[in-house]
Amino acid sequence: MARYLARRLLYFIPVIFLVTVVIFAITMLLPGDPALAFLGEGNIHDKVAYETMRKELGLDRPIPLQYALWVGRALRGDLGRSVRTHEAVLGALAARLPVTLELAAVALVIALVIAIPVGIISAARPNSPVDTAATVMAVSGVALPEFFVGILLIYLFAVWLRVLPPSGFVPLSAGLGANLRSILMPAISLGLALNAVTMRQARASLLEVLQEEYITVARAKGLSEGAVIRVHALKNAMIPVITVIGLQIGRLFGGTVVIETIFAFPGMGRLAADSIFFRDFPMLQGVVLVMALAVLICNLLTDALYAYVDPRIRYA
Amino acid sequence: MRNASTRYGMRRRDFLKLSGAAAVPLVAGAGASWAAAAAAAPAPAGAVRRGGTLVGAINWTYPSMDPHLTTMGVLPGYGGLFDSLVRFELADPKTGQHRVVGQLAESWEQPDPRTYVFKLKRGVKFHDGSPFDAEVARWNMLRMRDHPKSAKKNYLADVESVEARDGSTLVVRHRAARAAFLPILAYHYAAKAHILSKAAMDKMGEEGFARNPVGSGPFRFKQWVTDDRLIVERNPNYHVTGADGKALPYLDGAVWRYIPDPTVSLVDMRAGSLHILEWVPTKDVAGIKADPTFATYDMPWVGQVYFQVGFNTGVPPFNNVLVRRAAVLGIDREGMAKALGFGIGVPHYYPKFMSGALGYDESLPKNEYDPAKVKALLKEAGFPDGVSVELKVIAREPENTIGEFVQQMWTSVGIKTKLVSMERLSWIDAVRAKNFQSCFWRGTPGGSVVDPDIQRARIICGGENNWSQFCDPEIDRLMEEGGRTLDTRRRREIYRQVLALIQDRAYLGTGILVPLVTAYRREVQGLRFDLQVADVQAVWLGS
Amino acid sequence: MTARGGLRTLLGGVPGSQWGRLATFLARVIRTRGSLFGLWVLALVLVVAVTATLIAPYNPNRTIGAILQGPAWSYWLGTDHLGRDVLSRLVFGARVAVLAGAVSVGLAVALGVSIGLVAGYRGGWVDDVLMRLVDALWAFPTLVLALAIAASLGPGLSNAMVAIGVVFTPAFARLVRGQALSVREREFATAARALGAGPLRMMLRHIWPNVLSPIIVQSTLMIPQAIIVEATLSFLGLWIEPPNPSWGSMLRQAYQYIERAPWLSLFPGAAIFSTVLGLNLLGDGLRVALDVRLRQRGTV
Repeated sequence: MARYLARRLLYFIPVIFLVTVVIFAITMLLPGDPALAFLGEGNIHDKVAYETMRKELGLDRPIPLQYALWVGRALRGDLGRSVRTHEAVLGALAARLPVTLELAAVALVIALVIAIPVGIISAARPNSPVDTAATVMAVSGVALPEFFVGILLIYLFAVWLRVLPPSGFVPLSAGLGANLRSILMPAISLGLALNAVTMRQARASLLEVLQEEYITVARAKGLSEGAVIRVHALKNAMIPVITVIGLQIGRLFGGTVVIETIFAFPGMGRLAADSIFFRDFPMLQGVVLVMALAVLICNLLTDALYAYVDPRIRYA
Repeated sequence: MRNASTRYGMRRRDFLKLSGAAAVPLVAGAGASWAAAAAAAPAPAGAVRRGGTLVGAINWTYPSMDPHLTTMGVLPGYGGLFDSLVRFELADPKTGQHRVVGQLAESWEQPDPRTYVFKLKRGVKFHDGSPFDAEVARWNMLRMRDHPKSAKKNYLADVESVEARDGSTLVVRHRAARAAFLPILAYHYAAKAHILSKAAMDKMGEEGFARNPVGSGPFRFKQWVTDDRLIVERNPNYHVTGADGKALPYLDGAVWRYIPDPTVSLVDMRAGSLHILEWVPTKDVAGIKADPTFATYDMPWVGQVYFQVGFNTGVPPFNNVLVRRAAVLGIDREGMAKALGFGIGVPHYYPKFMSGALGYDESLPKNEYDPAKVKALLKEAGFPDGVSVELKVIAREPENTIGEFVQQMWTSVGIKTKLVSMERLSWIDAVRAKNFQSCFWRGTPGGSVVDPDIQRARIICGGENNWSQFCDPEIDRLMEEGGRTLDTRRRREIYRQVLALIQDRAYLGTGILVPLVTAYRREVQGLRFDLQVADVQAVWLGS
Repeated sequence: MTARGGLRTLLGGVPGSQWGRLATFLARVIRTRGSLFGLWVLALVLVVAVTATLIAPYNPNRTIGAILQGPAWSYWLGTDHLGRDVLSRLVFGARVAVLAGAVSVGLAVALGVSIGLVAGYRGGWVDDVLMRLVDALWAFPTLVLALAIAASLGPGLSNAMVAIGVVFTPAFARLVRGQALSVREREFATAARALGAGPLRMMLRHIWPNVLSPIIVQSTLMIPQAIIVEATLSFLGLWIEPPNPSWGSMLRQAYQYIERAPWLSLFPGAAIFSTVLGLNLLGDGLRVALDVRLRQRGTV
């Protein structure tokens, strides 16, 4: 197992470097002069300040050198300073990562708790009204853009029913209850896509497993349907579900951009979007790097879980 | 000339006698309807209630806690942390007229046109305990003028020297007479003189101060979560006393939340989790005003001009003044007011100037909507079949909606418009590089009412806020002269000429003026405004 | 081998004419619950998109009435915030939806299939490098990557489609590579190679038919995603060429007026909702139908 994980880790390291190259390429492609962005609109005509800023940001050096310098510093833990807010990038990320992680984690938990059981029930009664209802509800989750679902939920829960706060993140330090209440709606909105994919995958793979011969044997042996599913089918059916969840992590983090904007959460997603619009290159590079790392780590964990559940994989 | 000063500034009569033309113009701020609920009269003792935390929403993120280095000094929150030398006070609720009064500067006089002598308030301490004196004030002024990243240095470029005398006297000398100096020091969109603690800056350094501000204001800094909220708490040693005899503020603290999406901030307001919403989106103003839970305040002398269009005079077709005039005459302001004004927008005819400004004269040609004349002008300019132009706009609301409206509007009179919607920074780059035919933006002409000299940076050659970069030496000369003259009548004539030139040469066009409205819950009492920035030092939360 | 040949292979084994085979295939598809709805939606959207200029009552970019009017006799779905006819805008928006979906997914398929085929067939270090590149792209949070690319290219529908296409590429690349790898290992492939079949022939004759059905299914599921991403990009400020309507930007603008005119969001919302729902259900049906076919042919 350890050897398998080590092999996967070794595979990922070049991927991380490729990620840094892609990030750098994108920031180079973004139109707009970061030195001007830093100086602010009021000081555009100050040539001296502009030249100083360019030097300070290292923009006067050739691009490969800039890249090498950035990677070198990043490895030492120095991700530079934000052009927009002048705070240290690493510090800003450390402050905002927990918010996004909690959001993603709650969304994931909701998906697991709701989607998998629903998928299982659907597969147990295929083509029944329950099944149709579940499928339609699952797909509805991805049928509207998140910003729209978000505002609908806010109107429902915060204005009409007045049970949840409409926006704003309450940190854990202020109390678990308040924290969970503030995170519930955003997590639901964020997790809708994941919910849909998970539920349908659970249903599809359980259906497939139930066609296998050994299931027929189990049934012939006289086991009840419930026992058949629980004892024999479930474990194997969950393997593709795990894979699919792992594949959706990137999309989950992507969704935080919109959700954090709507619900006014100070998280990584919004930071990424703000950094793009303000050409805050140091911050953008830092944010995307951390998010990509998070996705890769999740993939690694999924692989580990997958290998644990299906021993055949370890020896592949 | 010396004379007595009152606690909050001089009596108006004396003020006017002193500085004559430097007074804030007397013409009423028209166009802005008045609804200043509890803003004016101080409450009788016994009615105020202490305690509570005010929650307000702002629509832009704080870039830094150092107000000298950011153009966002207009956000509430800075005013809570920092006092400034001078500020605005409502002089007449009926007309909306304001005057400049002292805050940390108790009084001032002008021994000669180039010199201002400020008498500073004594006994004021910063949040870190260090004292406020003339040395600190001097350091602040020079920092605003000299710091390479200062957002105010263009307005203070004329300051020749700043001298600190006997601990509480500040002498500011200009290179030449400067009529608008006081309003500039008080105006948030110009060079609002926020006073920072030098001791704190020395101790923490600039980067440290930007995250841990120390001022002398009614509130002390507690926490700043970047892009999320600013939390401040009551300053127990504030130097202003409330109606109950104890020091202001009445509140325990305040939280200023940044809510990126205006629709969501409105929902927050409705759900009851906000006390005050700084800017209500225009389309929702009517709805909020109809709601009895909220009170509103129409900010005086400030409106948003929807659609200020600038023409690139260096490239065809707008290098031809006839085409420019045609475009301006093709602006259907009534239609715009109906479509985009939501009942509160009014047509605005004079770019950069607003009713109430010195030099504003409605007898000047309005360049009103006239499709027949547009056709004639285009024909005369050599475009009998109309002309194709590109209009660049920033890709955000409401600019996009305005742009779509303008596109239809111009196309229907023969100016076939292609709307190019760009990201903010790309737009800025393109416009600066003069890579555009026409471009438009939203802006406020309110500065013109405070003092037309404040508009200088938007009108002169190479002015930093002169987005369309039109260049007219005659206008430059007039603006320079207007800034130096102290005689009000002469200034009025000068600025009238400037306006006439702009109208005649059609450098800019304007659409409608939409007032800015703040909404707050009715239990918020004692809310005041430093012109257009919410001032919560005397706020208490009723029931 | 042509596309038609591929389809024939797909439907192969069913007696009867070309159209008969298609009919049988469709019958199989709609056996899955909901696919019929999806088929109808797809047909409706395509028809509306193609005949937009004929069926729209007004010019979608022209103000025809007062702003924010509810449904009335002269404008069946009301007017928007600039007084334009919502129905006409909805009709032309269908065009954009079809384009956005088809072009972005088409681009993703083209890129993804090329990368996947080369990687899967070649194997070795080529496979390693290409797949790591694909993984690197896949590690980016989807929307952030789309946002960054779209911001680099500038606002506009075509740029947004390119951005979405690039972001969707890894999914197809992986899919194709997996199939290509598995085919490569088969005996008949080794035999064919021994007989002198070049790589191109291998790819087209053997790999492509196996790959076609998962690609079709995946495309049907990704087109609705493209529509949603386009809506989200316009929400974030990458405006798609005003004043031309797209359902996404219509919803985004209507969202601001949700208090004043809630019905304005209803129509683009319903359009997006039913299209996404329908295409997803259709994709489910296609997956089942194609799967059965493949199973019967014994190539899986």
